Amino acid sequence: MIIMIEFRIVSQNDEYEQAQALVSRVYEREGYTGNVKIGDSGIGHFLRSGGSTTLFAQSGDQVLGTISLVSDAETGLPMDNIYREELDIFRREKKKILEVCQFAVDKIALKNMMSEEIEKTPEHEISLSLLGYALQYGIHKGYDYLCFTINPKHVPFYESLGCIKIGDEKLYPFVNNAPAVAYALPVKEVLKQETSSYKQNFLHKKMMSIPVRHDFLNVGN
Amino acid sequence: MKHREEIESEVRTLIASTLSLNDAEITVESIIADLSADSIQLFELLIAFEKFYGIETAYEDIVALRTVNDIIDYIQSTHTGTHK
Repeated sequence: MIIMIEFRIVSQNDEYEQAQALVSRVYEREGYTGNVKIGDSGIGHFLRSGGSTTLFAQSGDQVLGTISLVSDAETGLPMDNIYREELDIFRREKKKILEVCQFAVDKIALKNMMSEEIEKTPEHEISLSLLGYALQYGIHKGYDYLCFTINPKHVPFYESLGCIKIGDEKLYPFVNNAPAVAYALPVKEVLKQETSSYKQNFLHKKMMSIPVRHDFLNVGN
Repeated sequence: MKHREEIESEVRTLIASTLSLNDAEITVESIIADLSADSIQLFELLIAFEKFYGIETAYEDIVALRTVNDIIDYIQSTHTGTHK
C-alpha cells in the first residue's frame, strides 16, 4: 500500500480546528501542553486572520501534518507575546518578517495508517515538505526572515537550517508555558548559499528540491 | 578503519545523548523511528553523526536507514575511520 500525501491550504473553519487539534495532540504527546488546547490559548485568532496561511499534509481524510505562516501586521505576530522587543529590532530595520508556527506531524496517526509491509515512513517527507513550502513562501513573498519559537531541544535542527538565535529562552504561554527560544532564518542568506559554492547539508538540499506550489504562493500578502 | 564494535558503541552513545535515552535502551535492532519522538529529533541525530564522523549524508540514503544496524553499516561504508 502506498500512502499518497496531499499538501493543501486550509480554508474552512472546521479545517482550522482540525489543524489545531492535531497540534494540541502532538504537543501534548511531546509534553508541551498538557491538556490545553492550542486554539484556547489565544493563538487561534492569528491563524484565522487574513495575513495567515495554514497548510495541511493529509492522506484521504486523515490530517497528518500542519504548519502555519503568519505575516506581520498591525496585530503583530503570535511570538510578540514574549519576543516583542526582539521582533521590534527587525521592524525598526524595516525587515519583512513571517512567523512559522503550529508545526506538527502526527507520527502516531501516520504509523496507524501504514501496513506492516511498508518499511519507509514518509514522516521525514512530510516534515521537510511543510518546512520547504514555508521557505518557498518566504522567498516568493520577499520576506527577510522566517521567525520561529522553538523548544530548546530542537535548537541543533534549526541551527542546521541556518537559523540564528534572536531571543533567549523564555516560557511561552501559547504552549502552556513550555520553554521556548526565538530563532530566525535569514531567507536571503539561504538563497545566497544556493548560488555560491557553500555546501548545504541534506536538509537544505531536500527543502530546496521540493517542487514549487504556485497555489500556495498566491495566497496571503 | 574503526572496528564495527567501536562504531556501534559510538552510535549508541550518540543516539542516547541526542535523544535523551539510556544507552541500555538502544540495541542494534532498535528501529530509529521508534526511538525518536519526532522527525526533527531524527534529523538532529543524523546531523550529530555528520559532525562526529565528518561525513556528508544524502537524503536518499537517510530515508533508507531504519535500524541502528543500518546506521552502523552506513557509517562504515562512508567513514574512513577518523572523525573531527
